[in-house]
Amino acid sequence: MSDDRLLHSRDADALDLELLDAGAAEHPAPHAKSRTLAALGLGVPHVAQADVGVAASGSVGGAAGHAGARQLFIGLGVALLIVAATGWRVLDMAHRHASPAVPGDVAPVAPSPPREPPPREAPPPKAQPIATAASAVPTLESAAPVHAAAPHPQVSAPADDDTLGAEVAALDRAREALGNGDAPGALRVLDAYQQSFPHGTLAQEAVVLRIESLVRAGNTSAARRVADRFLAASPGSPHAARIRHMLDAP
Amino acid sequence: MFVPMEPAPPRTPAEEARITAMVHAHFDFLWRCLRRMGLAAHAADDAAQQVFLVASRRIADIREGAERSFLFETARRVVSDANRTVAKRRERMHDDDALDDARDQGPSPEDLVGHARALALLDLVLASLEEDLRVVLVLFEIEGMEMGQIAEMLAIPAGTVASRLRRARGEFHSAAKRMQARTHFKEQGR
Repeated sequence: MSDDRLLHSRDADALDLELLDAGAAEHPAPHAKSRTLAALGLGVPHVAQADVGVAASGSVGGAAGHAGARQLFIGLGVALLIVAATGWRVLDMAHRHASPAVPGDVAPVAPSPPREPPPREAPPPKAQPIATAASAVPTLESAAPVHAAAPHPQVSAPADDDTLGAEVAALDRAREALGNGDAPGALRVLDAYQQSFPHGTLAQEAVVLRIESLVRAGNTSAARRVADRFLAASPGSPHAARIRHMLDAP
Repeated sequence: MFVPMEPAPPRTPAEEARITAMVHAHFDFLWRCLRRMGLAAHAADDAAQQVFLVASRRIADIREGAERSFLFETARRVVSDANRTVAKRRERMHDDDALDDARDQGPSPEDLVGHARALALLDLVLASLEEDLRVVLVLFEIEGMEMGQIAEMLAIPAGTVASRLRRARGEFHSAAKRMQARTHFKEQGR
């Protein structure tokens, strides 16, 4: 057997070459790697320093830079809470009287964003906070009693280049609030996130974080409704067990 | 379909740097391998993410220099688990549902043109090969790995790699001709 590759051989069959060449030329969408890094709590290192309306004092990883505690925090929180976003989209769409999009068979760790146009990889956030209406409609009615009276915190709605980083920053805020025992604050951040990024790349992280926030806020019935719908939509999710554990925990 | 993940253990900055480097160095390779294992593009995205999450959790156990092998073997397990899940689900489905599910796998080669058509045909051909042959063919012909690297990655003798590659090429060629003829036949019947 020759060690020469068919792709380099003049004698190879044209059809064989065409097929192998097609396989060799295929590449993932640019956003795929970014999503993976984000799900790992990596790859968006500038977010920690970005001014995206985050109250930085006491932030879990503000000093860590590219790695360290903040990334770990995101990694734990995001990876912990990753899956349910598709279900959340379903819920949200239902609340907005639109037909929900049912996720596919493969349960993603993070949602598959729209394929066109693909976002660029690991963009640095510019953080252009926008005013978010304090009276904005909560995206989950069952969660409303927990936080309806409080104004929504600002969540940046940056340009496409910066979306992913800003999304991570927003979820970091929510996670931070949750870590500080402020579940209603986390829910407010998540509502703002949902408003700013209705089709966010990290929407799954947001919805699982919402479930945890609702549980910690004592609104287990709402948490269970969100979880049930999510699990129905994504039964094979890698975080399904975690969600069930959250709901089963005393 | 994937293994549920427990909370990740704490990572050191050095581990995070290593994981980041792994993603940058091997993501495309891993994603293509997942595609050639039969996953659709969006499923390969998700599966690749799953593989790196596993790697992240087990980073301390991954030997320096063996990252690609670890990722590849993890990918094979992820796809194997996924296939079992799909098979079980189909067993529980009525015939009509099973048909609908099959239709959801994507368009047939005759519905496509150009590069997409070649990819669809490639996946059909690869799916017809035994896994041991398919793996060697993909790693050698598509990923451009050397036989020695493949032998090390798969923990098999280099001679075995060579013999599998020889068989894989022959079967690939035959299957490609067969699939192409079948596709043309379907097009003629339209």
